[in-house]
Amino acid sequence: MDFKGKVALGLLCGILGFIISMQFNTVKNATEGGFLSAQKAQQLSMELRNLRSEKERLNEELTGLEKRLKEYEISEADEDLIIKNLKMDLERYQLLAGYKDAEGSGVIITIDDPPSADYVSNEEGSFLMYNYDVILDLINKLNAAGAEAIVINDQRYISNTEIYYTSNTVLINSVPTRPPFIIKAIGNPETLEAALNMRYGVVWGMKQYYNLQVNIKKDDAISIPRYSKVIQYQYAKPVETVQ
Amino acid sequence: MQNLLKLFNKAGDEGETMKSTYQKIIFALMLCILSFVTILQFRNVVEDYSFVSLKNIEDLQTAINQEREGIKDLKELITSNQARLEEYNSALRAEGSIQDVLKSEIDNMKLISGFQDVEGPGITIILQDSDRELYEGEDPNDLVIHDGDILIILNSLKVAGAEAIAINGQRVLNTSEIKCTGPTITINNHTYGQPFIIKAIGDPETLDAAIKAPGSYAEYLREVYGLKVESYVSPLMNITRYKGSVNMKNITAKEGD
Repeated sequence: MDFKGKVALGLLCGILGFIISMQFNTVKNATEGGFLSAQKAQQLSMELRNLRSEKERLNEELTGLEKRLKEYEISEADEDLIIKNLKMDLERYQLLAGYKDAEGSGVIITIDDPPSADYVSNEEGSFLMYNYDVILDLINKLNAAGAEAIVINDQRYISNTEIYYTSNTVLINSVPTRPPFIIKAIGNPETLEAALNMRYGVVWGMKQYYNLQVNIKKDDAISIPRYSKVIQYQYAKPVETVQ
Repeated sequence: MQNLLKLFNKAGDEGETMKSTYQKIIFALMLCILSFVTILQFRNVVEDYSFVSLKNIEDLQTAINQEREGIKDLKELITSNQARLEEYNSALRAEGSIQDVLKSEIDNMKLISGFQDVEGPGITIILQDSDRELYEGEDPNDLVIHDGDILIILNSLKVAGAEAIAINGQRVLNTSEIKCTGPTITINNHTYGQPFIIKAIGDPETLDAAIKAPGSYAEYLREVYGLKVESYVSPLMNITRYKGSVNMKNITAKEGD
């Protein structure tokens, strides 16, 4: 091997080494922590498991408490007609306020980002998260069509529900969620579906202009969860009405 | 002598060829090892990568945050239910009936669902169509308040922690719609023309910031389209309850067992 050959070989080795190190660095950057990412994912899923089991336990505790409360109410209601009426009234307002699990007929709408073939949803951004106002619009249309209760990704839409994009998640009732958004609405299924599917209506626009994946399904038995926080108004105080 | 030299040369040639084959084999072997190691390394990384993509980790993180929020809520609910149980107990002991507890619970639900007049500090926002002339080629629609604008402003008020909101006196419920009806807007089945007056009770400073802050949607309407968006802080304001009827044809409470 002559001198020239050695130089060429040395150069090739240099380039190879450079490319390999570059490749490693790219992968490392993309996974944030590189070789540890598998470990990190394991840590995260372990944490998630722990949190889930804790939630399970708390849920059981809550169900137990609710059962005891109900026992009180039922035993009292059996003896007293006034209490029975009060209980019915309470249930009605709880339903209206979103404080009670509800069921009924309605529609289920699934909205997701455009298919990744023509839009890279794996990348940082998600179109739907940036443009959450399409969801505000959709909910408004559902309300206009007489929806009685709405839930987005298991978050009950109550009068104070906000939708807000921050740090790559969408906060609904301050709970972070990500697409796909599953919106369930209780109401007259035909009316709701017709309102959404109106020609050149809201869903048409979402499909036509933004290429979003929208799917609407009628369902006779939708069950939706209650609003899961305790509301304590700090500023709004009830006015004593003279009746 | 000549012969000997020839032989020597030949032997030398042979030695050289032997040496270079040997070198080549070693070289090939080393390359083999190098490529093997490289491939091994790559595969390790690539497997990790496909197993935990960035999106995967983010989804996990979101799920964790979700669970945390859920746990926090559950704890609060448990505390409030325990308090109610305590109230039942003491009410039963004191008066022999839970009637009062139920009544106060109903009042609380009425307050939250918008069936109760409320008062408190808050802001008043006045939305009006733009006064300026159209630019050349501009759509007249750009200078008019739309239902979508109001929706987004309402949402930003809710983000800022508004507790009760009314538009032109109509209390905004979770089922309130804001419908575009030609030149007017229909809220809770009542139709209003501009100006639209939104009242919101909450922390006045935060609410005001939601309307005045640079980069807010209201600012955008004001600066880009010249729409009139004014807000006034007031220390005490009144918002009336929802006075319409409610439609509860399809919904029923789910009975827990």
